[in-house]
Amino acid sequence: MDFQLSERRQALQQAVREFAEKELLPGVIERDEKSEYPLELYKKLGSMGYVGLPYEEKYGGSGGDYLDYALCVEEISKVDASLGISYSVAMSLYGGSIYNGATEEQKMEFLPDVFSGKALGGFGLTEPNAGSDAGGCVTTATKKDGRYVLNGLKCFNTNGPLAEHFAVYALTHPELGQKGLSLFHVKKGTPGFTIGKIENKMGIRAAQVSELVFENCEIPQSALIGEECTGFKQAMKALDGGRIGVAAQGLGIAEGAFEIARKYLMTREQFGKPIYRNQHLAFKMAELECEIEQAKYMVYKAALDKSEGRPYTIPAAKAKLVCTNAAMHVTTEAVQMLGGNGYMREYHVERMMRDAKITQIYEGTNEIQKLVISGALFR
Amino acid sequence: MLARQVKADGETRYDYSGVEAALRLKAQPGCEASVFVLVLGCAKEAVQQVREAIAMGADDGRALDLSDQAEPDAAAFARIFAEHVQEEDFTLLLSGSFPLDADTAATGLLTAVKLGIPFVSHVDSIQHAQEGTALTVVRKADGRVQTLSVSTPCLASVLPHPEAPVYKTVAGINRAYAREIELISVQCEGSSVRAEVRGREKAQGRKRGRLLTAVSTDEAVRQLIAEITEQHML
Ligand SMILES: Cc1cc2nc3c(=O)[nH]c(=O)nc-3n(C[C@H](O)[C@H](O)[C@H](O)COP(=O)(O)OP(=O)(O)OC[C@H]3O[C@@H](n4cnc5c(N)ncnc54)[C@H](O)[C@@H]3O)c2cc1C
Repeated sequence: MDFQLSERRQALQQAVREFAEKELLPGVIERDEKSEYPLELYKKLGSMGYVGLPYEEKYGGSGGDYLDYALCVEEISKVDASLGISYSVAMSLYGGSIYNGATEEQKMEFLPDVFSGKALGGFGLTEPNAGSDAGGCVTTATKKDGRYVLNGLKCFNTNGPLAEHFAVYALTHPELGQKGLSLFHVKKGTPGFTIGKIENKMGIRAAQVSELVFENCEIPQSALIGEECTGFKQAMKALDGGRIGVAAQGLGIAEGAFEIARKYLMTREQFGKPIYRNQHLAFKMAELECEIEQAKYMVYKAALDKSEGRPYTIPAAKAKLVCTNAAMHVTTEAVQMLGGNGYMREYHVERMMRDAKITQIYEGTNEIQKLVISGALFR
Repeated sequence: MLARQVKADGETRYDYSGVEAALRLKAQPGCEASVFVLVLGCAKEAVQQVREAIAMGADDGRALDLSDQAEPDAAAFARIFAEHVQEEDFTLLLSGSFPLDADTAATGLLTAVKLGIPFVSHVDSIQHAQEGTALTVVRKADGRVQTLSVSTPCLASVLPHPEAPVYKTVAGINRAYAREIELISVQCEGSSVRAEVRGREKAQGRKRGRLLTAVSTDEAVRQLIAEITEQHML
């Protein structure tokens, strides 16, 4: 067992940290207030090779692995969790869906733009009546004259208004229920495909989340990824990878808030001494530090399991549960430790607390993670 | 050229302005330069800085280990640098402006004098020469901006540009950690420099450990010691 990151990984981590501090931090509060996505900064990250980290170069990636990618999501999310999730969705949900199931020809067509960071990718699974129970989807893909015709509505689609490429799950065989789901690649601008309501959210406000509307949207047969009726399995596999991304996002948020609180406790004085000298606060920080460390090892382990070809469904679910709970706990405590200032925008921790909440909800709520973990315990 | 600087607060820093300027120049259209970094410092640190520069886009580099040296002065730094570049075929030497030699800012000048080449300080930007061997440099000093034509080879100490940092790329990082870095021990005695190749710092890549099986305990210890000696850990 080696708990030490290699020097190469440390250099990668340090490089993304430097970029995040110099480029992402300056406008992060304004972007949150205005719900503005930093597309140019995302493209800049892409031009330096950080976007397609876990994928091969021939698909526009950088030939790294999932731990490299998790480190990158973590560092970005310490500063800007909105960018963190947008990146994670493009890489692990869109990227994972297409990469895992597509033919070589489809990969060469649908991946390089997204993996090189020139374009964003989206993932359309959730529907108004199919959230935790993704098997309840009703969007259909009907075969007609050698093409598929999509009809239905996907909701809560991260990157929806901005993405060029989408992985969309629809029923080719509605009579089979979730077993009738199939996966398709859909391009922005395809006739019959429009962006519906853009959500006004509590947190990750700079990320763009919207409905995807399909009204007699015709796509070619070559847009089918994998075989018909394998969509549910493909979605679950992509979500396993996605959960590592969300776990890394949660870890980053927790670390970002922790560091702000740590510095604040050392500089803020009350009763004639820095407030960290109150044992209550120092002990609280000691506990949070342990929680963060635990979260870190869990997500790094899950990422390594995936990279090294071991089963990672359960490690990913555990990491998502622990890291996102840590994010919520640490940010809430950080707001409290900063007192009134913690409640104010310019101190960042209130934003981090709002951002943390969603990590416990998307890509399978934490209750669903417990279903996955406990399911494996009592098989 | 990068040299370790021990600041008044005791912290060790390196100034990357020279490397950044070289990389900006290399990125100019039509410029076919290759960037070689020379780092002076303690072995481990110096190798690390060479890797960082390669990660930023430099083509290659060499680490000069000064660990045995007491605090060297500007003249010693200059002798070491001059000794190491005079055999090379270079067009332009670049350094940061202030980081060398405990803030005297004299290393650049003294190195240029040793090499017998022109020296320009406070350089803000450099324009690649389309034809001929002269470079156009913009200098900012004492509230004045000057545009000069400088013949090459020459040495320029450049001003930092914190507003336009050069970031490390993933490809650069992978390259930097997948290669061996040349490490040379240097010593300055009076006016002479003694250099000795200490070896090459191993590639970091993703090399896995090796399980020593079917060897005696003594042989295993011998192999382990050989390994860590090679990596300069002993
Ligand atoms: C900002 C945002 C971005 C998103 N991005 C995407 C995206 O890009 N693509 C996409 O497809 N989806 C996306 N989602 C959807 C997200 O994954 C779902 O919201 C999530 O899976 C929960 O589904 P739901 O909202 O329908 O909640 P519900 O399933 O209705 O759950 C409501 C509550 O009941 C609990 N619950 C449900 N079933 C059980 C059970 N069996 N046992 C115990 N508790 C249970 C849940 O944990 C939750 O607390 C996004 C959502 C949001 C808010």
